[in-house]
Amino acid sequence: MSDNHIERNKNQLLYASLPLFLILLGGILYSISINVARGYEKDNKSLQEMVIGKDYLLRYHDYLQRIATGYPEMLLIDLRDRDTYGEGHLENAVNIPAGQLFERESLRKIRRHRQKDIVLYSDSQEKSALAFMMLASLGFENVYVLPGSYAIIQKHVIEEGNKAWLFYDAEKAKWNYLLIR
Amino acid sequence: MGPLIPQGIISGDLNFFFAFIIGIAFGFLLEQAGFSTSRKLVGVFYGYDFAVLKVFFTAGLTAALGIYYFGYMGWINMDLVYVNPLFTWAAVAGGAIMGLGFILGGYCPGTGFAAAVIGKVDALIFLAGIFLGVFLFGIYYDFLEPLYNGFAHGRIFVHEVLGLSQGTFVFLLVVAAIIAFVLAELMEEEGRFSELRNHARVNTAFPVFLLGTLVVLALLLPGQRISYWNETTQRELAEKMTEEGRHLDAIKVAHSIMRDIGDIHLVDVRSAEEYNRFHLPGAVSIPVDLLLDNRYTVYLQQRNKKTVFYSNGGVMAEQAWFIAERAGLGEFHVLQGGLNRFFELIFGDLPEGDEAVRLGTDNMRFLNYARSFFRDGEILRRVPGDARVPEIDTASFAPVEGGC
Repeated sequence: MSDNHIERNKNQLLYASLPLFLILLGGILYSISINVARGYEKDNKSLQEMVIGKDYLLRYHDYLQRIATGYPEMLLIDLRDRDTYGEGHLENAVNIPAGQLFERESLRKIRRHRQKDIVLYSDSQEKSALAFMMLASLGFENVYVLPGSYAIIQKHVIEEGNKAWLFYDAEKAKWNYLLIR
Repeated sequence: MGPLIPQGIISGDLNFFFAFIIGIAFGFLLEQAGFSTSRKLVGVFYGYDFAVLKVFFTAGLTAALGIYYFGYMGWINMDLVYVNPLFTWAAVAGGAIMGLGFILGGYCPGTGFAAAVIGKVDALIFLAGIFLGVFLFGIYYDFLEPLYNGFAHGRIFVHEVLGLSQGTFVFLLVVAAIIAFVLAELMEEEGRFSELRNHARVNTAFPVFLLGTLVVLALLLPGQRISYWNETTQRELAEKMTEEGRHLDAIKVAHSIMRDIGDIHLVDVRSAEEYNRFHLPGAVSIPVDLLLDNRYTVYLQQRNKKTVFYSNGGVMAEQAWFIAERAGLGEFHVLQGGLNRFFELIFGDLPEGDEAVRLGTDNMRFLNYARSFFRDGEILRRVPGDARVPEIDTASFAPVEGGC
């Protein structure tokens, strides 16, 4: 076998590998394009971990501490609609109704405060938790949720200062299911 | 046989048949590549022929790049791929014996068989040595057992131990390979036995370009995929979040349970522990952390039924709804207020004043009936007997066993 012959054979092998390479490259570019088209910046699995870890809850004692020290680095967002916000809201809260939260303007507004902690509350913890999920999906890193509703926070935490409510979480079971049996 | 036998697509009895075919093919290729000549094989040690190094390093690189990119594109699930567990000192001892045998005999085990089949006498003696070694290992197994089974570290990955991302590790591996190949070429050219070198130089620009593209991509891609093709887009999901129809109230769910209408499929997203303590009749348990596990997706939906997530307070159910809807697993609903609200209505004080007006007379009448129904023990008869935990056939998802 001459050297020339070997060389030609080897180059043929290389050109045969080109389609495989192109398929792989195409697959990778397709994956990237999907990432762009879906518009998320965090994967679903890490969302799952956040839900289970529950680190997204800003406990009331932390919140009270922040109020006492004059709201350092915190953007408090009220997700209720304009009317209920007008009737009464937490101190220094900004009103962005839940329906408008993901409009471009609101997002730009939040993005401007990106280096701060973004704290959400609403008329139920479910709504704020759901908004949190979306903000986390969009890549906002330090988003927190105040547990409970505005009514609970205002009445039991701010006005009464009741220590029994400090660790309130709407997700805790209220009933002793064993007794029901 | 990869995923086919563990998934039950083909019978496990065919294992040996496929092993036979693959073995024949492997032996044929070794022979064709000239690997049945010990002169070619030991070229690595004398520095005139690095074909062995290049072939096996290239095979490793191809597999590494393939696994990395297939994992990234979601074509392969690494959790189900069998990875040889690490037994540190057994690996060191085995490597030393193998290396020593390679230098002494001029073959590695696989090429030894290929050479023996074409009738090389030294290879036949080499094989006799292999069988003697196996025999001695069998005799002294009791003595060698601590070495054989000890120092186990299980399934570990180099990139995890080094604290690198998978992409960075693949990148470094390829860089190391290219350096090794260049050095090998130099040694073949300049070494003491360079006159024994017997292959032509090939144009390396093209393969290096292909490899370079893949490798730079490996470095640039984020470690984890963010989205999959069936995911709902962010815009659609934001729209769905505002729809009120995705909530079901406690009264509707209680009604469905009592009358056994069968129009809802309840999914308990709390932990299995809490599920076992108490759950609504007919609910299946799929904790939030297992929601995206593809073993459970089958149990998420049933035909002609609304899937309703519930948790203690409804918060986790909402979050589960978000995750499942984003993953594009189907259409889901949430029990508003969760079990807390459910029990408040049925076991707590009967709503009065504004609350009662809001609910309306019909609902109030129903509540009265439901309270007697659930309290008088009807539910007690149903709940324990109706505990339906999805039974997952884990055997069919067992990782592939085996290795080289």
